[in-house]
Amino acid sequence: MTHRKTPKTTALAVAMGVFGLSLSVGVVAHGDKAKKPANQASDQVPSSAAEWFKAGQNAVLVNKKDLQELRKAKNVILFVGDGMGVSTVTATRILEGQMAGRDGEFNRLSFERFSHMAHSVTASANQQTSDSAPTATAMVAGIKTNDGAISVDQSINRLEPSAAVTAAKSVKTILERAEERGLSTGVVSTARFTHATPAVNYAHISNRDWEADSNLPAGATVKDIARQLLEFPYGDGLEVALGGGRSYFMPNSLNDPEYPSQKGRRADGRDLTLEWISQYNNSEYVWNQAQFDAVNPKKTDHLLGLFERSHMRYEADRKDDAAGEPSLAEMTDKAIKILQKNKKGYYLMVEAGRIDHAHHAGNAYRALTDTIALSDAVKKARELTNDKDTLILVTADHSHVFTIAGYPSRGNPILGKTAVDGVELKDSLGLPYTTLSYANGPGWTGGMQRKEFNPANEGTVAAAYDGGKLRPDLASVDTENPNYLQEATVPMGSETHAGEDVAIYADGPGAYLVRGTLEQNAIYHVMADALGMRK
Amino acid sequence: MSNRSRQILIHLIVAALGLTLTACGTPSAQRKANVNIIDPAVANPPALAAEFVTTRAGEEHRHESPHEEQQAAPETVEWRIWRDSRQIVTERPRLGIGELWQLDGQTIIHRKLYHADRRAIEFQHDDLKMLQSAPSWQKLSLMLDPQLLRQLSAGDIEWVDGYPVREYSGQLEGTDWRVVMRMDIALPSIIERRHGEFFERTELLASYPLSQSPWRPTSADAYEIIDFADLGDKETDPFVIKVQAQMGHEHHH
Repeated sequence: MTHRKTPKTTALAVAMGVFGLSLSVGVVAHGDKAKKPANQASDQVPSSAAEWFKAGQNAVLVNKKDLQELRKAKNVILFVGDGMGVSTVTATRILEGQMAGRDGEFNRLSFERFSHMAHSVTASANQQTSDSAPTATAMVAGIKTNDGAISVDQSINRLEPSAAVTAAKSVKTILERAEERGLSTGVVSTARFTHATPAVNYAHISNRDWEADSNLPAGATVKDIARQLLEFPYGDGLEVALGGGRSYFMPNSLNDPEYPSQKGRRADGRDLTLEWISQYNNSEYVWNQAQFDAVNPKKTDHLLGLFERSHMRYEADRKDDAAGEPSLAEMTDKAIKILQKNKKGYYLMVEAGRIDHAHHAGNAYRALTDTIALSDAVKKARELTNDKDTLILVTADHSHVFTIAGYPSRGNPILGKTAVDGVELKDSLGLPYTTLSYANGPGWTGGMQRKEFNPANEGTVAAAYDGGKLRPDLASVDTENPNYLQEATVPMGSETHAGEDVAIYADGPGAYLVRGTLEQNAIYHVMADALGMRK
Repeated sequence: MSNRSRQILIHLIVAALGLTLTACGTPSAQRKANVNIIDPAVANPPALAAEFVTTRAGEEHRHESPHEEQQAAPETVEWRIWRDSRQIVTERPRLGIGELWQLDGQTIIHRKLYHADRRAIEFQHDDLKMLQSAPSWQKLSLMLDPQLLRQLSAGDIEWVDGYPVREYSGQLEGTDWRVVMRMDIALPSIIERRHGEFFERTELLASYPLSQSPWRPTSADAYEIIDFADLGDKETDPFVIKVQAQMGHEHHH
């Protein structure tokens, strides 16, 4: 149920102006107290200067009290679009609108309708352009750290094998603090559950790649990421853990249930999926759509769902999965219904983890359709929650070198070639070009200079090229094909992250704190403040 | 066929080009008893192990590139394949690399194996689709696209050294093809393709029923497996840097 507020020029809103808050705070203001005139602390009309002064002071105190309540959230949901830069949001907004037959440019994704937003500076402690580990750590632990670090501080060595050293340099996460306070917690991702962004919530390790024990160096005493989920020491453990990465939880002696030719990756013989069921009451482990659909949130207190050996399918390919996989919105729905049983509240992170992967591959279609799936999940979350008690944040960990270029007409297909009134524009070589492209990546065409893999010697050889120019002629190419790889300027095996700011969208109690240009680690502090975690 | 995985596949195919009947000894029109003829178009090919040699000469794509001097010189590569109904493994012993293709239900899982590094890169089915490189299992099993065979002129089945073979030939998109298929094992014994000055020949040296193979593929069970989707997050990994440089610049237009 949505409880969206309409801005009102109430006395409260006016009074808030005293505190230098924007009128948008009034949008968040709610409850009966917000409707009371702030200066009606007493029914008696002041009759002296001193009384007038006192009444004025009281008005301020009342409003300050109200404002503090506005900051209090019972629940916090953090949505992360991995790699969802501003250009990705814009292109997705257009694509979603065009797919629905609407004006794409005027369309808005669900979270773009939130009333508060800010820029997030994504540089990590040691990187101008960051990877997902330190950026996600910033969001859930409140600090900036180095590349590859999972909720450990920047003083740790990237390949620190010691459990004791790692513990000393670990930084408590908001999920852990929530568990300490008796809240319920959950993490949902379309990436592997042991991948950087979900992992930062529950694990502490210097190297994001140590997802299973078989990934650890010889002699390491630090626990691998998957194991840390099962040996989580705070509260009563996570209530919801949904994503991919099943093989990291299964022993290498056990065949995968969906792909029997494949085995788990654990060398220690532990089946963490079984351990999940045995160590929690009212717990379930599911790995396919039918099992997931059968989970009754009212009777399930701890749900583990691992729907692929590695990452879950792209949203565009999900329909092809033989065993079936839930959508991000479906997982969000199930998670909230389990978590909201706790009257104390909950913390939930939901990650659209594969936007990033599609961009790395230079494939805009899958990046944008996964972003639509994120928007659908946010919409579902807002429907299931009350904006009086639930803060929802939507942001990205970093951007990608993804651009929207040229001067296409309004309504031109966003995945198509740049055209004005249907007439394709040409570059200085006289060739058509697409609106979407990348600054680097596998989409480099390179014309006659392009190389390709030479299996004869594992090197490269000149690639086939029919044209005579430095770019291919796209005149007869269907660039709206889901498998089309957009062109890139600089040849790289994988397209890279980008260093510009990303956006934070916020709605609910505490959302008013999201404004201006914030360092990314401020996101943690917004959430902590909203949940009343002062320290 | 210009993208990465397709190139890998092509190599399989191309490697198969030019199979000769060396392994079969002196040509003979004598028909062997108990030899089944398999239709490649509907084949459920028998499990086997085989060894091939691929020889390339000339440049496949002649460009006026500043790096032209780096292009591969004529060379010969020997390689092996192990094939059954669910798994195909190739290996180039001299280069210490190989490929693994597995069929699991309707899903094809592909790994590129780097034996010296004890690491592998895994391509999920969606990755292969995105790279426009998702081959059919039949194509992988035959080492040739059945569609290609259908487009070439097919001769009659002849018996050479006691084995049934059929020769396919013709020109497609400027490339002259000659394929000789061993019809008893649904495997090319010769694949030749010529395009301008470029010539490639792949020749079968020997084949065995899988259970009687004198070679075994290098075990990759303990290798660290990296998802293709994760390469972008391993930008500082020396192995990933090396592999990506080898992959070249692939694009499809």
